[in-house]
Amino acid sequence: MLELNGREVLLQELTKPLEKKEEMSQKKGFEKVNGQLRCNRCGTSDRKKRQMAPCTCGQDCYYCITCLQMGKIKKCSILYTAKERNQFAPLIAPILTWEGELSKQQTEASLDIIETIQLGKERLIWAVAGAGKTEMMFKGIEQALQASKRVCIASPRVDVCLELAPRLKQAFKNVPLAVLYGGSDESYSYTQLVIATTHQLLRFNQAFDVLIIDEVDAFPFNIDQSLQYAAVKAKKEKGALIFLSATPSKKMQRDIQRNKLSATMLPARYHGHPLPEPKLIWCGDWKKTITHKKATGVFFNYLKNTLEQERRVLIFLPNIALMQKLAVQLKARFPDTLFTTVYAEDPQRKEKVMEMRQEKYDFLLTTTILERGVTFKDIDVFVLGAEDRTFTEAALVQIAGRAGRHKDFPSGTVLFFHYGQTKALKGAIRQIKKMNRLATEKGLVKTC
Amino acid sequence: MLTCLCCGKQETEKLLLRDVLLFKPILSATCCHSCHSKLVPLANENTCVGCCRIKTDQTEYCLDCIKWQQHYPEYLFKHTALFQYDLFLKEWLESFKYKGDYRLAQLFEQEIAAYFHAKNQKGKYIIPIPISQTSMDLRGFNQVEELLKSARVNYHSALIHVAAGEKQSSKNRKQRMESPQPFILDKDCCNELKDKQIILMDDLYTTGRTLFHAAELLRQAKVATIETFSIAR
Repeated sequence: MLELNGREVLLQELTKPLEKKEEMSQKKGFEKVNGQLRCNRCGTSDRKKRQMAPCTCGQDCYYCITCLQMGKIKKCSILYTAKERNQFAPLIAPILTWEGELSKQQTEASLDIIETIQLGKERLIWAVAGAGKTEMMFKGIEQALQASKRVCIASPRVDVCLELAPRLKQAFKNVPLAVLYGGSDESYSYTQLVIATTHQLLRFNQAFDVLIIDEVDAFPFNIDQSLQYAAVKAKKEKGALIFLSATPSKKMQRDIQRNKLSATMLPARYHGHPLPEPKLIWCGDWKKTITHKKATGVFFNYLKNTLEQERRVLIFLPNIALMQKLAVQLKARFPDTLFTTVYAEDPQRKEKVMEMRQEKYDFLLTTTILERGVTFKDIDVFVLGAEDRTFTEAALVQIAGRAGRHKDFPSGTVLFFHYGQTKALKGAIRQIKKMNRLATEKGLVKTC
Repeated sequence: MLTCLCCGKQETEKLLLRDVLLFKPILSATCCHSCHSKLVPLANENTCVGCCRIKTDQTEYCLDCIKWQQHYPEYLFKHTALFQYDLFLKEWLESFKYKGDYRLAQLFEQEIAAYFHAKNQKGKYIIPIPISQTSMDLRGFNQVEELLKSARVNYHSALIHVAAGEKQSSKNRKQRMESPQPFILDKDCCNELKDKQIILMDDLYTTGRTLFHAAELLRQAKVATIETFSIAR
């Protein structure tokens, strides 16, 4: 049965009942590894993450809390798996239907990716926000498909997967593509090319010859051990692993310095203009100005000026409560402007972002959920309370990367309003400046 | 430090002076403040006397209950529900029953314990609604019994589910109302039941069909009174 190829699933997760038994192997839900009980799907061996519960198996049974949302793995569960044998439908030429041109640095990165895939190695592509990461994967993916390798592009974030899917479908029109994420209407089908959230990787075992993880530093992949375990498990032992990130973690940066991880740097944007460098602006006790209903101060003056110049702004705040307080204030202060707020649990999140893209609002208040994965055409970016701990160095770099992404509007103002500088703030600005310097040295930046 | 059972967030618990001075056992919460604030307790709302549904007019019984009264004229209509059935409770039931997260039985242990251990409930005979064998095979536990166990309430499983297990939750209103009697009485309990004050407990009151089926059987066993209780309405 093809459906089981490279998968590791419970019986009820299969779309069809099992047929031949000799092709597959079975595993118990839990196994003892080095004297510790471990969930066979997510690799968690923490005792606190196992819950005892009555069960129909009649014995003392427990289940794994860590991967519960992917379906319950109990002591008495059986995971079914079959070896990945790369039995794909024959490819229809041409494989790559994308006709665009890569910039100089994209070409270099593309060659690096091809090499990594051929040798089955590990590589980090460290590309600034707006460098054109997707396009430079295409050549590598094409070659891998031709060599009848199974390819997966995974990301911790559903939005990223959903944005990638149509672009990949466009670029590989003749290749069937499965898009896997929680709450998807489509059921699983066996394809050579897969887009999946990193959670879905839990259901694979030794499946992919090429695994590309986009936004590898994003939540929850960065802190969730079980997802990292899943990524390693989903990839074949000799498969290639490629990480994409604009803001790799400290650990990854250290690994690069120690030559444990090879990396390709892309310091310039695809349109060849430098990254907008954020400006630090001290704005005093901004929490007080928000809560005390006195809509005056540095921040409000800047916002007024920007709105008078008819620039549209994205305003980031540390949390929802503060954002809503500010929204009330702004409504009173700027009654003629149109704006709204967006946060993670907002049921209209998608629509609001879409409307902002269509320029229906003058400005948008948001939390860190819009820090990555969204592109607005011509926009300024404000961060109020940039010293707050929710704004890590990576978050600030990503936020600054929202400005000037379009080739017709390559500049934008980025302002960090703060009440005392933090390490993260300084680090973020240092990182952006460093990238711009690197790009200039390499001659990748257009000098107007 | 408390880890919320619903959202997994960690929160520090505040100890009040009152908690120290009253010398009562300190009950630690099971879910965080923001999750708890999503619940709509029905105790202080204007609700139907019969089924505990929130209503806007001043009548005593809602239309549904009036219809039920025509069916069962001699029956005492008294249902108590803790919270309004909304998206939050829907998710809770989904995780607890269908995903099978057993920990969630603890979520309402304090509220359930408070209801059943109240003074006027003394000596009452508590019967949980049973689940079908198919559900049992899938879940491994009866969610109503687990809720009671977690609240340390003694109960008697006097009813047995015998119908072929098509779940109420998978039917529409009309199909629910037309569903046949799914329960039988446990013969060993029959004599015990006579002249007892009964509280029937289910996790959710939607149309009332399930609870009325159970009540019908109990009345045949000549019990004194029947009240019903559910977490959500």
